[in-house]
This record gives sequence, structure tokens and C-alpha cells, in this order.
Amino acid sequence: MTPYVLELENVSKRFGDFTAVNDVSLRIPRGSIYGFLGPNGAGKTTTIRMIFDIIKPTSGRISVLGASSALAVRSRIGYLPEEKGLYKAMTAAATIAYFASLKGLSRKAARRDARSLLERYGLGEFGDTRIQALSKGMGQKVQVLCAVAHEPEFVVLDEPFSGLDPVNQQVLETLIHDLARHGSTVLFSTHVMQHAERLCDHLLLIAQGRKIFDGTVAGAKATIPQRVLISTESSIDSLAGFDGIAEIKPVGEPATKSATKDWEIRLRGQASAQTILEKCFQNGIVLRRFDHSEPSLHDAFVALVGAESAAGERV
Amino acid sequence: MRNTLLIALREFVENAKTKGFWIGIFMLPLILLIGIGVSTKLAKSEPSRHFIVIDQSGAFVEAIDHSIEWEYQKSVLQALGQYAQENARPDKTAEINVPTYDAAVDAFIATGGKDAFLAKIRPLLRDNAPAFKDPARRFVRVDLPKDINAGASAATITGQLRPYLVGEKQIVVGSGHEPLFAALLIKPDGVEGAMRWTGEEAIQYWSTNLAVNDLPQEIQKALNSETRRRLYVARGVDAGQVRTIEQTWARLGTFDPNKAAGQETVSIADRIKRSVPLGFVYLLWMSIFTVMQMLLNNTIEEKSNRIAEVLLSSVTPHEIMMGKLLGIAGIGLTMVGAWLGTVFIGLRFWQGPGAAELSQALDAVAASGLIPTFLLCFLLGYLIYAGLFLSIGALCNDIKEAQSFQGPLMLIMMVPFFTMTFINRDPHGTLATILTWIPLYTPFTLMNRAAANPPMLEIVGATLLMIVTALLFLWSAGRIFRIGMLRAGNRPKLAEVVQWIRGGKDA
Repeated sequence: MTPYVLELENVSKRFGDFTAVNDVSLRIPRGSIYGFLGPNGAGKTTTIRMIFDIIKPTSGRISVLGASSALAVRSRIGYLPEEKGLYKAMTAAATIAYFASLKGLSRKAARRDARSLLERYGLGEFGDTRIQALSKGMGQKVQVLCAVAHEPEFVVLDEPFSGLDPVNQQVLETLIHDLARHGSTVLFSTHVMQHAERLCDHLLLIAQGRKIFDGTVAGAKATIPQRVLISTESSIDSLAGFDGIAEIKPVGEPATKSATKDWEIRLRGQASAQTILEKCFQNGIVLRRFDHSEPSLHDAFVALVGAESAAGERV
Repeated sequence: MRNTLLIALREFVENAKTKGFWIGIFMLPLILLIGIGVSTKLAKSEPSRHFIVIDQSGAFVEAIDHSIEWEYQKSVLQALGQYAQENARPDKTAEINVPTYDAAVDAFIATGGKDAFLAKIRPLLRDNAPAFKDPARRFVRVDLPKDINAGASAATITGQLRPYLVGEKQIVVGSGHEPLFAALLIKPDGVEGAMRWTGEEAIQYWSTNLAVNDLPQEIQKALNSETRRRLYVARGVDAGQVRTIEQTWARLGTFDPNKAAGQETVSIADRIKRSVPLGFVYLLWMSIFTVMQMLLNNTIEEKSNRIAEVLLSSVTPHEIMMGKLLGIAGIGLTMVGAWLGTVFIGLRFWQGPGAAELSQALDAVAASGLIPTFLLCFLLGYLIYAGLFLSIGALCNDIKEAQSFQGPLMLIMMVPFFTMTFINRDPHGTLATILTWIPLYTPFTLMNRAAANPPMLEIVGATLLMIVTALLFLWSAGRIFRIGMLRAGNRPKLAEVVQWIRGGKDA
């Protein structure tokens, strides 16, 4: 058994002159929750479609659970596409059972599992309701259940949170945790950084068809410089020469009555907030506030994508 | 294979749950029933129509009265026959046989008419049989309104009758008023004018209703027979003998060299059998296009609701297509089976006129190769059109877009419908031969010609053509389906589609 559920080697996909995915390589280890991030049009859905062998890569190699085509292992993988849709006239339970049976479950087992899944995720009473009578959010939950009813080893959820209210988002987070606990590997794409931050062990970030980051959440945050916010009445000119500081810039409009000013100090390389604080004491800067907080994933995302698109424009 | 069957099963079950399917199943038998029922009811409920005869020649009125009465007696005899059939004792049904050809009507009138007939069949009827109800008279001759002088000139009389004929005035009939349906004016020189042009029509039929032509026909018949009778008398021929001779019909046996030796005689059952393919063509046409609509709707549902993508992560496009083809074919066959079953069972239990011939014809149809031919034409026709409709479904984003394709397609589809009677009448003609070799029409044409024994070469050739076309269409549809199902946005151009088919290049 390969230690990776998914391996991509130099995968590219071109549609005519347009390159949707450009030389992406990655490996997803077994048993992790992987976040798949990227701005709109970055190539996420195209990558996912190639993973499932719905469209073929122009070049490169893809291996899913050790097989060269996802169709060979289709009973062990699950997929929630970005564009959600179900047969409107079918009931919720029949829909889940149908997709589970296409994944190899016997029809009887599929029907039984469909009921218990609906029960477990709060849709028990809607088993015999037609899809067209369900709300959009409920329909989306049914579709997530369709993707996981056959207990796949590897699940890809494309934008699973979009369109769900906070309560159902929570239910979905629970479901993803449940899957991971049972040994499934989950790859999900999202625009909501909080979900990625809360759920993911690993992150995969692509922009303009290229992979720009692949690693842990902490690793992603480490790619952008630390920063410190300070408030002081004193002059901070004395800090300027310190080589641990990359940039100092004022924050907001200076208050008219008070002489207190806010500053943002970006650190360089391995410099720590502690040394800045020491510098302030040494230079007699009287601090009203000294605020050192971790950069958010959101900041990391914006910084990484911004750098990539800037690079892309230069090319 | 398992997935194909699962998809087929879903298609079958989900379509069988739709209203359209059940409407389809019950529609045809219902239309047949209503058609038969309504036309009989309508015929019975037609009102009595009143007409006036102003016979200034005095030569024809009696003949007309006689002719109208004779037709009425014929309808009485027909009604008596039906009454006897409906009310016979179960063990006596076979003894009831009431012919209604001309001599039989003459005999009926001569032997005392209705009352004598009823007395004769009384022993054959059930004890609780209801009393016989006379049929209504279709045409009743009434007198000229009192204010009109029957001796006036033709122009005066027609002028005075005009308000009655156009419905402004009504004539007095018994104690009530009735509209005047028609007037017949015969001038004093009517006998002469019946035979040659005298400068003006000597016999004039006036009516605003030109759709009902039974009355002018009956009048014409009476005028003919009276004119001829006078000619016979004038030349010293015995009119009674002529009448007897005229009722003699020469026998003409009809034979078909295609039938087995010793059985070449063409019976009524044979004639029915000959037009049965027409019924099958209609059935074929109805069933293929009903299920095509389902196939198109389902394909578009999967595309517009974005179900295709989930499906494609579990099954191949090929499996989806085959599953659909199979499931919808099942629906089509169920529908056709139900229709055929209803028609066969309905006709088998039909007790009305011609029951014996119908049942013979049914046996002949069941024993002939028509049903296997029908199944062959249905399956191959289904596959050919399915290839077309699956491609359209995969190319369109929603049903609206598909409708723009359907316009031209509908025109193509109407051709077999409009040509089927011509092909049936001339099964080896140019039209039939040409349409046989146009793959879209081959199933319908071959079915239509089936009972006329077309050349073996054409049967085999046409069947091969259908098979090759079906394979080609399905193969192309497979290519289009694979790419089209995931494609959103603008409908692809024709050149692009051709490239998909040729290259199998995706998106």
C-alpha cells in the first residue's frame, strides 16, 4: 500500500492557448485533512476533475490510491463537485442509496446506510422527501452524504461549505472530523480561511495554475514576516537603523488631541518581537501598547497569492 | 456492466413514476375508446333535418318520399340488428344474423317491417329485454309554409323561402318551430330538365349546409331512378325486371400470388392485415418520439443540474449512456407492450359488426412476421434517434436551448407521419423505395411495407443500413456525450462538435 492517497507529478492541463494547471506536483499522505486553497480561477476544479479522471491531463502523471486512473479505484474514493446538483424528483434516501450503489455497495446495504447517515447528520425525517422539496442547504448536505456514504478512503470536497448556514457548517466540520477519525483522507477546497485553519493539517495553495505552497498551516503563516503594533508618544526614529526591522509605517490617522501615534513594525527574517521590545526600552521609547499577534492564514493567503500574481505579471 | 444496469434501473423506475409515462400508457386506448364512443354517440344524436319539396312537375315527389323512407327503413333494420345482438339469449347469439344489403332491406319492407321482424326474433331474446326504440328520422319532408304559393314562379318561391333557409324564419312542424334545412324546387319542365340543359336548372337544391351531402345524394338517387323508370316505360322495357336485374352483382374473386398455393383467395381478414402495418407505423412513430422526449429531458436534467459530474466520478460516460439507452428502451417497450396488449385484448372481445373478420385478422397478424418486424424496427429506430437526441441533450445547457434544435427535428420527424398512407397504398413505389434508403425513415418505411412482401434484398439491405446507422450515431453520440456533459456556457459550434466526433479531443 502506498503511503500516499494522491500523487501528482508535473501535471499540466491546457485548453487551447489557456493553461489552467501548470506543472503541479504534490503528494497527499494517508490520514490527513488537506485544505486546497486558491483564488477563483486558480485551477482547483480542473485539478480535481483530473484527479477523478473526468478530464485527462495534457501532460504529467496522476496516481490515486496507487492506481493510474481514479475509475479503477472508484469504489474507494468520494467526490463532491463544486457545482452541486441532484435528481430533483428522487427522495433524499433513494439518492444517497443510488450513488452508494454505483460505488459498489449492494442495493440493500446502500438503502440501509443512507437512512442511518441521514439520521446521524440531522436529516432523518427527510429521508422520503423529494430533493426538490428540500432547502438548498439540506440538498447540499444530502449531496455531501452521497459523496461519503460508501466510506471512501479518499474524499474530495469542492467548496463544501458554500451556501451553508453556520449551524450546518458546524455539522459539516463534524462530518469531516468523523471521516478523518475513521481513517479517511479528506481534501477540501474552500475560500473561507477559518475553516481551513480549524480543520486542516496541511494546506495546498495554487494560483494561476501553479502550486505556490504545500505544507502545514504553521508553515504557511511562517512564510510571511512577523509584525508588531506599537502605540507611543515618543519618537521612534531610533529604531530605524535596527537590521531586524524590515519596515515601519504609521497606522491610521494620528489623533488630533493626543500625541500618541500607532505604528506597524514588520520584522525581518528570524528577528523576534522580544528583541524589538528590548530595543524600545534601550532607546527610552515609552510604550502605551505593544501588540504582537500571529499572522492569520488570511494574511498568509493574501501575501502568497499577491506575490504569485505579481510574479505572474512580471513574466 | 453492473453500473450500466444500475443506471438503467434508475432511469426506468424514475421515468415510470412520472405522469407523462402513465398518460402515455393510457392515452392511446383512451383515445380509441373515446373515438369509437363519441362518433357513435354523435351519429345517434344528429338532429332530424327538415326539408321542403316544391314539385311543380308532379313527377318526382313520390320517388323522393320513397327513397327517403327506404333509407329510413334501412336504418331501422340496422338498429334492429344491433338491438337483437345486444339482447339475445346467450345461447341464441349465433342465430342472430341481420344482413343490411339492399335486397335484405327490400325484403324487410316487403315482409311487414319492424313489427313483423320483432315478432319473429322475440323467441331469441332475453325475457327482460327492453323495448325497441325506433331510430330518429334523419330527414323529414315538410309542407311549404302557408304564405307561399306553390304555383308561383321559381324566382318568387326561392325569394320567399330565402329567410327560412338562412335561418331568419322557422317553419311550423306539428306544434313547434324548426329551422328549414333545405328546399328542392322542381319546375314544371322538371322531367325534361332532368335530362338536358334547358337554359336554366329545372331542378334546384337550396341549402346553406353543404357539408351534409346525404340528403342531396338521396334526392339524386330518387331523381335518377324515376327518370330512368320513365325512359324504360317510354321504350317499352319492364321497369320491374330492370330493377331485379340491377340488383344482380357479378362475382369477382381476388387472389394474391404471394400466398400459399390453394389459399390465394384474398379475404376481408387479408385486407385488414394489409392495412395493419399502418397501425404499427403509427405506434412506432408515437412510441419512438414519446421516449425520445424522456431521453432528452433526462440528459438535460443531468447536465443542467450538474449531476453529470458526480456520476462521472463513479461511472464512465459510456456506462451512463448505455444505462440510459437501456432504461429508456425498457420504458418504451413497456409502453408499446401496453398499447398492443390493449388493442389486441380490446379487439378480441369486440362484439360489434365485423367481429368475426377482426378476430380472423388478429390471428393472421399474430401469426405473420409483423410483430417481430415491429420490434426490430422499434429497437433500431430507437437506437438511431437516441443517438441524435443524446447528442442534443449533451450539447444543450437547458431545455430551452434544446427546443431550438427541436424545431427542425420536428419537421424531419413529421415526414414518416405524412407519408405513411401513401407508402401503404403503394408499397413498392418510388416514395417507398426512396424513404427505405434514408436511415432516419428506414424503420417507419420498412414497417409500412412489411405486409406487402418487399424484395428480400431491400429487407436485408435496409436492416443492415439501420444497424450501421445506429452504431454510427451511437458512436458519435458517445464522443459528444463524453465532452458535452461537462461543458457549460456557450453552446459549441458545429465545427467544434465535428472535431469532438472525429478527434475525441476533450473540451
